[in-house]
Amino acid sequence: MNRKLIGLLIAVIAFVVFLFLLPQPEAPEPDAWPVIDGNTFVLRGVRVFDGERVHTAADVLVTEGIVTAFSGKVPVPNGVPELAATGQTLLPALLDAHTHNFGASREEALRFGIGTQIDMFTAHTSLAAARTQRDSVERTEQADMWSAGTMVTAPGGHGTQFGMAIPTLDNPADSAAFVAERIAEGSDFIKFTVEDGSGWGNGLPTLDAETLAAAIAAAHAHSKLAVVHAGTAEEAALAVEAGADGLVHVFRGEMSPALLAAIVENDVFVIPTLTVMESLAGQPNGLVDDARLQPYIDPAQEDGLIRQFPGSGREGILTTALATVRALHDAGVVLLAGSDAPNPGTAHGVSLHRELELLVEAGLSPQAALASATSRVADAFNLPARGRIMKGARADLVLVAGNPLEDVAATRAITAVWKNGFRVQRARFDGATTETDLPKAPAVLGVFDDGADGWYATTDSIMGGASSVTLAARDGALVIDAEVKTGAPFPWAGAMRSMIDGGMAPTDASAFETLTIRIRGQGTVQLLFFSGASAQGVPAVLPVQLEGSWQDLALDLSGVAGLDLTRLRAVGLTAGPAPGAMRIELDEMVLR
Amino acid sequence: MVIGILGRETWGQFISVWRTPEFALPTLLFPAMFYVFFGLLFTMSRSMHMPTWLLATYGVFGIMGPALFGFGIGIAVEKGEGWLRLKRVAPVSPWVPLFARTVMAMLFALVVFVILASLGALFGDVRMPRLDWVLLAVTLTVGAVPFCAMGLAAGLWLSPQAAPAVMNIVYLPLAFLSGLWIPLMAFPTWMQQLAVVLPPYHLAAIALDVVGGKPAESVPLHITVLAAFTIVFLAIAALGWRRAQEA
Repeated sequence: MNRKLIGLLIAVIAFVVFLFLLPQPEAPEPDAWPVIDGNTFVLRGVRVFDGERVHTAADVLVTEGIVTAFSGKVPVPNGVPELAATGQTLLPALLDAHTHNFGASREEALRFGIGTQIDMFTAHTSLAAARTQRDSVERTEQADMWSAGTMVTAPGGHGTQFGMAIPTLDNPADSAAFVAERIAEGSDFIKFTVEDGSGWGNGLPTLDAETLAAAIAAAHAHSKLAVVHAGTAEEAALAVEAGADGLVHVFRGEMSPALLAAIVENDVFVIPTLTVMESLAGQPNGLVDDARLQPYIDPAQEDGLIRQFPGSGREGILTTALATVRALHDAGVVLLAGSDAPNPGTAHGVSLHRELELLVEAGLSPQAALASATSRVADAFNLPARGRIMKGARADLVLVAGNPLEDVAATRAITAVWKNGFRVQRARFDGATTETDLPKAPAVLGVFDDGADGWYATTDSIMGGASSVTLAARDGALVIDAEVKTGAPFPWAGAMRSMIDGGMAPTDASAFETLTIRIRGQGTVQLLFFSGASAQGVPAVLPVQLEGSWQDLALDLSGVAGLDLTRLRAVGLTAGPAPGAMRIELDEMVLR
Repeated sequence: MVIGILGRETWGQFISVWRTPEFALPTLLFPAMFYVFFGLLFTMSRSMHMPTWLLATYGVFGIMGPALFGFGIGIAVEKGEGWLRLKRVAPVSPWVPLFARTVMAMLFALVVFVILASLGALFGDVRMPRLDWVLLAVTLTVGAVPFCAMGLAAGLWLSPQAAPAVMNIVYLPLAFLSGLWIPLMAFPTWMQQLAVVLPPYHLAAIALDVVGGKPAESVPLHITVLAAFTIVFLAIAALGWRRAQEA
């Protein structure tokens, strides 16, 4: 009997030893990654936070910008680049649930791993382009955006002080038509302001309870979310009573048990924006001194991070806010991470990393804080295929060194950011070049024997101008018929070609010295070069005089002011700024 | 006391089967041989890691054999020899031999796993996180239970003469149509849809999820389906048991 027991024991031990002897995936060095020009790759052996839970070691396969497999070990088609990322943590690109977007904001956000921003008030003219971008999986250097467009406020209320004339609402009868106008402008959801301005000591007119309730009902009738900026606890109670789906700030003042009960009862989500509370409290955020962030902070971001609210320094405000957030979290209220950038003391992208830290300080676990910046935002604003790593999700990803589930500040140590599966070239502002090799710029930019070779029309209409252009590939040349009209501050019409597939992604053109062109036209045309750290930067311009007959030009690129050949993004050929009609025929353009 | 009887009964079952070459050899050798041929020697697809994929599916194939034959043929033969009658009057619950047979099938499943895992790791470059190896072993071992129930139902209904033939006729097509030999993707669509009604398909789906071959849509769903199959087979077995008693 004993001998049998011993035999059984030996068999069990032998089996366990066998299990331990079975081979595990090897872990090659992370810096041995190949340079990839596409949006198909597999990450091996990485710790994954999928938006809700943690997986200790998984493979993530991205196929043309979409996560197509996610498991313990993914068998991968031959030829797909493999990136080993053992010991690092992969997260869905973060979502910032409260921003105000203009200028280079979405580029700044993406650089810090934010893939989608929920804008709470911006010019509605930017919404159509944002919608097109977020539907595509093309290469982009900008975060995607969902937006409230114009926020809804009372005449002279909070929101009207920014020097931008906006329509206002002052009675319940107008609310349905008013909300319908916002939706027609492209608002993805409706944001209301209930703010008496007591926070900064001046009484402001604000939406009354009746108007707010009617307008929120109108938004709901269009199946749109209604979110409210409520300044004080009393205003928050009013907003919840009126049917708000979410509060976009934590409110000032103590939260009564009745208010908490109402928030829980009505399933209202809260975007605390603790970073901006910290700024209002006059406390430094320390972000510009963090060596993990500092190289990627551009001058405008740095300026924002150290700026202060006029009259800030009410110390109690952050303490109260943290206590409120803890109570909300304990009660099971959905909290979303939002930065309210670019308010004083904040900056796009950078500040969300501080928000995560403040949420943890308020009492959330790192895991809950990370969910509040990923899956929770996607769920609250109904953004499909975002904020999660799963089969079918958009490959907006951020890879960080270390484990943010233990120390949430590890999200700052970004190793790589992917947008639509394309590796983002994180621009640096400390003099160092970007850490990864850029794809090489193509030499031949057009021969036009077989179509337009990727050239497309460009006019000042995006700036409100009236110029027009038609392109045609005829007899081996690109025929550009431009009609420049006055209207825009800088009128133009012509043709453009991106270095890579229609976007503004940078390429390395430093091996080239000369641009040769075979061209015909009459008058002055402008050669434009889009290059440098920002896709939004002003292009370098080289005027070229044409004499009416076919000309072969060889242009020395070293002499072009403002041209950064190490990051060449696109070239353009335009008529203007003088008004008039012009035909430009381009037979060939080659970098040499 | 009961555990002692159970242990001896299980050990007896295992030894008797182990010493029956016409049972042990095919059930252990076939999966290993097929895996070597189709998983390691001839790699049909370049688009996936075949040794990893087929480790999961031949694993399922491997554990089906001992469960189906151990129960299907074993029970039918015992029934024919009058053993069942004897055990019915023996002072031991009739559940003991059934449970012992199940444990035997699971032990065989472990042996199949050890053989296939060794082959895959040594010659097929199969690499998995340790947790996945353990999960695969657990999946294949516990996954034997539905096939035990299936074998039990067959064994109680079939005559000892018919049992071996029927089990062989069921065993091989069941494995093939469930995509255990060749990945289902290689099949026409209607055959892929047919596989959904076959129990091995669902166990293979779980095993493939474990090894990362193909993330399952829903592992709990596959587990539920297998549990449902088990209950149905046990119900059929219960009817068969009643009929055998009446006979």
